[in-house]
Amino acid sequence: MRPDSLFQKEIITDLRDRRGLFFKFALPAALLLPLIFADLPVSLPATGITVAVIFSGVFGSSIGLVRLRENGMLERMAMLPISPRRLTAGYILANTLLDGAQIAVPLAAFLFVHLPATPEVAVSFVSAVVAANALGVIVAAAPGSSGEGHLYAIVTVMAAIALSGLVTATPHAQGLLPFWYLYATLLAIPGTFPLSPVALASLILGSALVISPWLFGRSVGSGG
Amino acid sequence: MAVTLRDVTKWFGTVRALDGVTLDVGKGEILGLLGPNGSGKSTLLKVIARLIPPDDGSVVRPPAGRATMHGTGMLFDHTAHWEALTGYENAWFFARSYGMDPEAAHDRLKGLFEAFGLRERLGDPVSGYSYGMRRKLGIIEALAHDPSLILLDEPSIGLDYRARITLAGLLRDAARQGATVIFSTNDVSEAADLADRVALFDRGRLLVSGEPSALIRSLGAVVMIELRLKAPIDTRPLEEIPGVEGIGAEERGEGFSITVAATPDGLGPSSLLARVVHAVAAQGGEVVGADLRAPGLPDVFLAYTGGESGAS
Repeated sequence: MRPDSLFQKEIITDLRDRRGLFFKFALPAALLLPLIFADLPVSLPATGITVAVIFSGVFGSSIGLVRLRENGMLERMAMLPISPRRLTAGYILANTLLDGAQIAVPLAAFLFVHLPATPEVAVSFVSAVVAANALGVIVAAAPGSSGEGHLYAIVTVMAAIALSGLVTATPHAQGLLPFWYLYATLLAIPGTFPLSPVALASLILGSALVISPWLFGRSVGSGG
Repeated sequence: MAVTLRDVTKWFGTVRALDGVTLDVGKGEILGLLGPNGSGKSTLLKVIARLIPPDDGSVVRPPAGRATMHGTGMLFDHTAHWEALTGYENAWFFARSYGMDPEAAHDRLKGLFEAFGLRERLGDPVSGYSYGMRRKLGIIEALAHDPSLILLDEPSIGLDYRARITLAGLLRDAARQGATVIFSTNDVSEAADLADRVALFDRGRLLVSGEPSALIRSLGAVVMIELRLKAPIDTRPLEEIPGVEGIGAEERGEGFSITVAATPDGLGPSSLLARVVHAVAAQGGEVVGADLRAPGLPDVFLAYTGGESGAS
């Protein structure tokens, strides 16, 4: 397959990097499967899966983009007759698929051990992965060096974990982040949907698309 | 005009990268941007490409909007590519992203890889490419979609002689078909050979623009005398020699070099050379080498950018 789009390019690049691919799948499995199959409170593997979603999405997307900006590829793509929003959407979609696939194995094991799969779990899982990757794009849009990009990503991951109530409950904040809904549905907490995780993920995704012209070095409204 | 700039100014912090640049570039014209490092050439290319907005002034590059971006090909000063993809896949991505249909993209890329001697390596990952190969690939990506505006930042850097000839031929063909070509270079001879017109920059200002031959004529000199001396001398007495238009001098290694721009009215160049050598000897200078040549674009460059060896 030849890359006709950024989406295809991301998929091809990831599938071709065998070693990277191995670690992307092996690492979440190695960290989460022992938690899932051990005789531990269910909240621990649920937290682990949610943290993995946040970490791989935010960190993976933001660092990937910061590297592209540093080596000049974002500048090159800014010359293309394709809107930054479309490029960003392709990037988020590709990384959502890849992140989703790498955490799908531990998630399936969790559901096998702890509860039957429900539509709410699927919806909240997809929403959380999309939101994490979109958040990574927003983080990458902040100007700065590669080192600063890493710092912003780590701070964002830590903040998302804390505000999503994964460490201690944050009643006023957790419902505003889609990651908490994933955690809550994994724990089968009843009445956990005062806000739709889809709506929250869409909001974060929309924000990422709105700021995408900055990411590609163009001012908003400059047009292709 | 294909590109019109009016009083374009760009600041980076406290540095004025472009200072009131006004320039017109016609359809089918090849314009060479020449100037010392940091003179604003790359910034100007990015402003024309709309990658960075000017702080003041206007850039008109009709037609506006996406059609313009579609019709632009740019070679950057860096060699960024998708490292894990092959050279062909990289070029394919850009060709397809610029809207080429698959068949046309394949034919065009095949021809360009062949022309630049990369055919045997087109299936190799870019991570294994040398610097020169990456530059060639960047040029292929910039030209593949037959853009109507071609912007090249120092295109000959890293290219072998054959690739330079290939590139020059491709750019001339593109210009004949109506494309506007703007390239920056530090290679004065490249600008003289390739450009229809040269724009000379220094510290963000456009100093002069014109056809290379016209710029050379504007020096007023018809002969350049270069003398290599063992040690520095006072060059002021040389200015008294009839026909001498300007004198430049610089230390070179352990020696000293003098460049004299002259119009030897009534005298042959050899006689003028003899007078100059005599005057140098009168100053105690010991000549170890001498050249007599016609002035060229390098002399224009040095004269306008205040190079020590430039004819004033």
